[in-house]
Amino acid sequence: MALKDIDLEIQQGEFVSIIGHNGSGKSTLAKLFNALLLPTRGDVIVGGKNTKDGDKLWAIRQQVGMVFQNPDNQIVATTVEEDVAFGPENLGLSPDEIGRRVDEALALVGMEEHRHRATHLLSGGQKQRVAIAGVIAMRPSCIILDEPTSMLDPVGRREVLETVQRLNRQEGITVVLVTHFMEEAALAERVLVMADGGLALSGPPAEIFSEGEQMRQLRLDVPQIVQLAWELRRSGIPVPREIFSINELVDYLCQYA
Amino acid sequence: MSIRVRDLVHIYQAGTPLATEALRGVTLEIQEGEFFGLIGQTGSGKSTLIQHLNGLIKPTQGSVEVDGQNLWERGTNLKEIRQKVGLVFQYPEHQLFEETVFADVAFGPRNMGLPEGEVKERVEEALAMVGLAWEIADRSPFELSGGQKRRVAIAGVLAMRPKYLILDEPTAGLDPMGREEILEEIRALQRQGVTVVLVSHNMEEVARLVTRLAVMHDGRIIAHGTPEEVFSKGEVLEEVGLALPQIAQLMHRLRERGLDIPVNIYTVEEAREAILRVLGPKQGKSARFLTL
Repeated sequence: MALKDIDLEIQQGEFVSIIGHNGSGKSTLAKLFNALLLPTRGDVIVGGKNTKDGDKLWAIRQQVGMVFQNPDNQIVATTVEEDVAFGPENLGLSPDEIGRRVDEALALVGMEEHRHRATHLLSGGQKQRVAIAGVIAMRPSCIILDEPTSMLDPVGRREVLETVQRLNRQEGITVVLVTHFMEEAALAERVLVMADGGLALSGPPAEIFSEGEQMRQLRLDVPQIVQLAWELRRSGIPVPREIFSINELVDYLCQYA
Repeated sequence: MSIRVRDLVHIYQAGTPLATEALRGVTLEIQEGEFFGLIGQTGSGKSTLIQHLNGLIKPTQGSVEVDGQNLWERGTNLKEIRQKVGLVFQYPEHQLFEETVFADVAFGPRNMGLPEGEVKERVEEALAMVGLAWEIADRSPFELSGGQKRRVAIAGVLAMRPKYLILDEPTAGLDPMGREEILEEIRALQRQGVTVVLVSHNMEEVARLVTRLAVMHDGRIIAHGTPEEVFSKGEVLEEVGLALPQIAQLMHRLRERGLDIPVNIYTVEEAREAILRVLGPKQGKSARFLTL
């Protein structure tokens, strides 16, 4: 049994991250969101549509796009713009409309200047952004990213995370980020913690990461910056619990000094 | 005793229009007993370099010596070199193929032509080293969890009793505890005398574990030394697409903002100490804290 008795609602426009030990069911849950998998028992409803309803399958997949871990497994075409156009072409749209969507999607992921480049020459972070653009070109309301940065170097990671945050903040796209990196999970408004196929915890990062001991019991950890903030608090510097990023902590400490 | 790389150049598809220069003159020495880190962006040449260290690929120019023996000299037994220098690829669990864990780990020693008794001894030893229970030896590797599969794959290399162990991103895709466990096992191996070369994108791991590291960029080594020496060159790392460890970034920023704080710090405890030394808990505030 990969998942058991999960009750969960994700609102339009939310940024949710999912963390959990290897084998906790994170990826299984993510794949249920766009009907790549169907529930054995229970229902997944996407914008009022049940994923078990075969007639709604394509509408659901268009609405909820997915980006996977390995950048090399997701590129289907030889140039960037052809790759991004693949989805809209399959929707049977007019060439003008396809062009418009490709322009828009490439701009959103910051890859316009690479549109004519060969996909095999891109870096890992660029490939992941092209994969995201391919999803965006379908005009989804939600994007699910299943460990999109685990094969990337630090710059690639930053590029992908900035893109994801921009899509959520500027475009109002719902983001579900599955990750093993606690600093990434802390970027979300809400963190879901999976353990042994169930939902163990759910709440804002400040709440989740204040449970250091419980997190370790769940084979997880707390971002280093949060650990440090916690240690400083214990030593008498009242760092607010909402601080998760290096910049925030630097600003706070300089002001405190 | 060491692995010595001199003026190494590697060109893929040399002499064709598709020729790509992956290594542009790398010189490097890894001493016996070291814990050596290799970092660099994707495409910087790390994988090409490590595949030279046990003779999987042949230099276009330059040389590779293991314990004084040139790998590409006439008379060198590459099979022996490959036992001495074990290479664990990225996502090594993708290479599991046998029906049982035992058979998979035994594959190397059997290929060495060892008697079955010794094969069994080595499999036991290797599984123990990676923290796997002997009970799983009869199971199919494909029934195991991601972290366990990765350990089986590493055990397969350890069963060859390598003197040098090279691991390409051994913690990629593992949960935080899984990462910790694997790293702890690698550290234990190094303490037992195995020379370890760790290729990683995780700067926190590298800063904490290695004794020396090299930074690759565009087929060259652009910086090398102790973690303190390399991470003191924050700008150089950023330029080549790498980042300082999180805690070191914090310390650098605090220093930029005028706090008199050391920057060569990588752990939460050290950072706490350093920050408290400079800021200290303000008397009034901490007193109020106590009464609350």
